[in-house]
Amino acid sequence: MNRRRLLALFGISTVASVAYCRPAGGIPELGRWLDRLSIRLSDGLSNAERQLAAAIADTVIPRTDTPGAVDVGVPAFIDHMLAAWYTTAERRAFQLGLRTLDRKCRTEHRKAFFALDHPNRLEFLGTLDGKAGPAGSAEDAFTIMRRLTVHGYLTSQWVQTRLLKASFIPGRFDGCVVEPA
Amino acid sequence: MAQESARHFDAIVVGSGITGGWAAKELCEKGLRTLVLEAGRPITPERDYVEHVSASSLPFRGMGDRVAQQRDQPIQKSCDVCDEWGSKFFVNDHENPYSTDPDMPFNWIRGRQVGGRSITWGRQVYRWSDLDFEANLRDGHGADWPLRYADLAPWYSHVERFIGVSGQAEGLGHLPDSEFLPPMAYNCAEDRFREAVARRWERERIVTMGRCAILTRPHMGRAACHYCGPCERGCITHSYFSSLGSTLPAALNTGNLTLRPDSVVESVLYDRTRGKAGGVRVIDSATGAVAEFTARVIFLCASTLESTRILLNSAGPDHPDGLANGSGELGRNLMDHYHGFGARGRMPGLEDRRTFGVRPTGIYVPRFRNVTRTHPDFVRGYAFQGRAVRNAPIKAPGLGADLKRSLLHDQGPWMLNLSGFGECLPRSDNRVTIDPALKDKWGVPALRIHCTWGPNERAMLSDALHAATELLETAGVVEIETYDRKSPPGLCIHEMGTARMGRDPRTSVLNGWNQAHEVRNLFVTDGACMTSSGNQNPSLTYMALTARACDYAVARMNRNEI
Repeated sequence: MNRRRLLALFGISTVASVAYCRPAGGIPELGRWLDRLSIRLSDGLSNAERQLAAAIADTVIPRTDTPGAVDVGVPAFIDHMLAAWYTTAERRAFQLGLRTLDRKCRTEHRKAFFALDHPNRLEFLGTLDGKAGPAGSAEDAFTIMRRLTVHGYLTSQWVQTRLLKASFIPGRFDGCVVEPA
Repeated sequence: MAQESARHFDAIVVGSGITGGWAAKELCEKGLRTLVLEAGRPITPERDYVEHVSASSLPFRGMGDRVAQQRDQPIQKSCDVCDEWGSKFFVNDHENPYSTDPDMPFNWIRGRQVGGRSITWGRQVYRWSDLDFEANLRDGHGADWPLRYADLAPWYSHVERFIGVSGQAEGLGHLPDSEFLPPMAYNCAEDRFREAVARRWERERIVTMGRCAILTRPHMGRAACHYCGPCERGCITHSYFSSLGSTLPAALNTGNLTLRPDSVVESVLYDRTRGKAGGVRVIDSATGAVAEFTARVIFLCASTLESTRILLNSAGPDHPDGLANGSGELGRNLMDHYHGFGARGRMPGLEDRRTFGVRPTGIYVPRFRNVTRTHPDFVRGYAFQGRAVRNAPIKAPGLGADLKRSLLHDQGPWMLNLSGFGECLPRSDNRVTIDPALKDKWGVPALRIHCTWGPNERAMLSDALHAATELLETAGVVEIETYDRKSPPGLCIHEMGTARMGRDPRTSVLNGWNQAHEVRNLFVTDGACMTSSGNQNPSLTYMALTARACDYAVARMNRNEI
């Protein structure tokens, strides 16, 4: 009922939480406080889940010579989608899947996913990529993460305007532009 | 816009969409003081059109507000244009209910606003021919059309010259050419497909550029298309045809138009003493206040099912089963196009070619069944609309820097899709009635819709899937898969019939001029009038019939015969 207004508040908190989970971490105290508030109000992800999601997004599309998924705000988009787009049952299955994923990682690498370096993260997620699994499985949670990360990245303002140079006024249609490989 | 000075007009037009706009233009230009009643709100293109809104600025980045849509538009959202951008151009399903049998869905996709569905329509325009107008007579399904191609051809031209139609003349007898602006261009994969089909079938099956009401050069004061892509979200340059951008402004220019939004027409008032329609009863959608407007002539252009609903809700002592329904045919013979099926696959090669700009039409394979030879399994036919595109392989495995590079730089393979549109036979038991209990937000009795696909449509499907595969194979397309989404009737949004035209007042509602057999100053010119469904997108025919009916009505009014 008041969900929209609560989500607006949540929107503020996601900004803080992203800052919080980045190494350079902005304002941890405020971030923690807002995180607790947002979980209670919005049924969103917990802080630990949010950190894990951001780490996965960062692995799926890392910073290279251009910004990565985290740089262009994908974690906030994922937060928003989990809080406002997915159903409660879907979100709970996703949260369960994230836990399964992390447990699997601890079994295989003896470390939490968050503690792995980039090559190991990539290798671990590679074992899940392209595989379907039942709700609550690591594969299913990763499928959702990958889809949201790719969508959030491609539709971010940075990528749209700076990398894809999307234009609303192409002005002409050319059906056969030769583009050397 | 002229202030409402009175409640009496020369003409009332119910609806401001694709046919209402045409009726308004024609009647106003012929000097009639015309009131256009629109159930929905006004639209201001500068404020309301969203074709240039980036996904990045939307809360759900184009994935839609799933919770709100599930709550408010559970039926409308089945139309893919009812998305995060365009959902505002579709009705709230709870405010606008209708009923169906539980196991027989009919997806009624509706837009209530000034401009109606001409804002969101698919813009494909194809003339009908006598293959279509003679079909009912030839195979005995439905009533005979009371007109032939020669009657409508000049009106097709009249409409096309105004709206602007881009396309390629092909000289086909069963799909007559329009008055064309230059066609849009094929892409290289489509070129290859077209050449392969021509080599194998010569003229029996052809591929042509999708004929569409979008300008390829400046026309009638409107700018040429700038190829941004999503016309269905509005077009600020009015390069596509919509009533809001073209016919309504033309009507307004005459000084004869009064446009009244937020006006839900409940019924047509019948004047017993004169045996004519006296006016309409209107409910203000904001206040609920009831008003009556009178006119010498009334045009129902409210959309196929809304116009029929108004007539059914206009029942009275002289016509207990609905106005103009002495035949009992009002509400019957509901049709749509069988849709949601086809075939697609990958065309190898051409990896060094891409497109620039977004072409807002596809390619078209005109009907080739039951044209010169008779098919053993079914009557009538189907056409394919399709296109070749390259899509970035977002689902292909791969992560990290490799995935990122692929997302930004890979175009993906050329994929060619052919999507079928099958003619639906008129069947008496596909019908709408007034639901005895259900009412809309404004207290107007709602429709009960009973509609199913018939055996002819199903027989056509298996042949169409085979033919689509055959067409793709001819062009070297590989990994072909056919699909049939089992799309419910209604979802093609080509709903037609329920107040059909015909020669005989005992078996039809309207005569050959879209005039009610029983009420001579009442015209129905939207899709309700259709006697058969063809397989072509029907809007162009609705527009031509509307302009023709207006010409007839005004001539008769001038002779005091209406």
